[in-house]
Amino acid sequence: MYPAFLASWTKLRRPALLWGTYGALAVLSALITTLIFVNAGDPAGASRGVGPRGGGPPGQAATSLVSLAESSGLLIGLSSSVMLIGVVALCVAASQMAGEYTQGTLRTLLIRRPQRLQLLGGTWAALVTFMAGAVAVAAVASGATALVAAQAKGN
Amino acid sequence: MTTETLTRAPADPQTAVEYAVQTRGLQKSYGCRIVVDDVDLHLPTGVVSGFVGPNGAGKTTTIRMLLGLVRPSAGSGHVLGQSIARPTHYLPQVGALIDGPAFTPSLSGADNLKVLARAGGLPTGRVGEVLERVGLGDRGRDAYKAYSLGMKQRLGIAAALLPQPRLLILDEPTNGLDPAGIVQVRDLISSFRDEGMTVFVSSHLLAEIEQVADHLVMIQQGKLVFQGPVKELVAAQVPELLAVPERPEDVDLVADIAAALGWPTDLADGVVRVQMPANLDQFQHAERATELNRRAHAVGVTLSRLEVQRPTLEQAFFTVTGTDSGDVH
Repeated sequence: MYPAFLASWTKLRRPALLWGTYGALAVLSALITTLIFVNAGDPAGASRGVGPRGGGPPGQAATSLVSLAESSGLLIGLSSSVMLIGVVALCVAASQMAGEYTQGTLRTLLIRRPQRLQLLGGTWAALVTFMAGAVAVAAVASGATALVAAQAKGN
Repeated sequence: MTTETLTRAPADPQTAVEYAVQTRGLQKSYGCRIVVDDVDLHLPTGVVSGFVGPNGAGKTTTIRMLLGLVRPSAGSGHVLGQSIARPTHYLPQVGALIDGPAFTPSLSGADNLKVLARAGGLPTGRVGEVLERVGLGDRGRDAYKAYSLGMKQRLGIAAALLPQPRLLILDEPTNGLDPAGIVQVRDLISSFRDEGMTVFVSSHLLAEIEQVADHLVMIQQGKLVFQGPVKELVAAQVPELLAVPERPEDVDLVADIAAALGWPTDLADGVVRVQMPANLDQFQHAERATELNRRAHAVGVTLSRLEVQRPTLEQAFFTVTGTDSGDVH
């Protein structure tokens, strides 16, 4: 399984895909965190439907400043982005798997690695670690944004 | 045609086998359509074998069965002495290019090969070696999508060389190449044979195969129509003596002279074609040519052209398959 994992990572680490995915997720989670802070303690904003998309349906009460001040407050932005991360993970996995098939690279891979379960397992593990990296990057971006936004709110 | 029975698969994969590829009654059908029908392949070790047939004859399907990509509907086969039911036993010693080169466009050539080397658990140091081997040493860092068609094909061959294969299977390696590219690929193939590899190369272009193959497998509509050494096939064909008189109006006269000698003669487009018995050697062919020339000269006819023509592989192919349709040019 490890060879297939390495092979799959050789493809995943191409800059356009890696930094594209990681960058987009970082920016989006930072944006969501910012929106949460902007709307915090402002129910009117939430009822207008400009509240955090990742946090819940419009109309739901926005996150209070009190909950943001709690120790878990740093992760609220990230947890709001979970849906988004899930969608991105699905897209990346689907496009990688479909690409293998349509480009015909699956054939050549299967000749070098005829053990199909190993190939599938390795590819899966590579995608999971790829997305784990994306979550880590998103968490850092979200946390950093929260710290900055909290200071701005505090003033 | 070879009719040896299947030999027992040796336990040790390194053991030399008489046949690199051997199948018996190999068949593949999709629904009620039979794509490969009862094919008994015998591919001797150490040859370049051409796998020829029109498009859609079942070449790629046969190759896919040999590589464990599709399961045969019936029949059995051995590759390098190992049963095709267990591809993991022989695929580490087989390199293949099927359905044209397939790589990730945005990765560089070298990275694309690294993907395959890592998947196969091979040292990535091989990547540089095989790139050099196919003449892409200085272009390995370029993105695959920037490659020309010839470079793509050569990268595909490089990928097939990664495991230092004993058997190399190349499906249409010259497809879409310009004449220079075809020559490059052909030279590569003959050098692989010189290094001791068995090469199984498919093509629908018979003329290409003719120059590089010493063994031939012909398939048509899923059925095997010929397999054996190329020489055997061409030797079985009847050579012709071509004679063209200086003045076109003398052509009947020349045909009459040949007919008077009791030789089977055809006349078409101002060319007299005299069929030579296959059992004559080249000196006897020359004797007949001289005789025809002397007699023509005696009646005042000067020949502007007189030659013995051996049939090309292409003509042989049409004789064997009995068709002039299909894509074989």
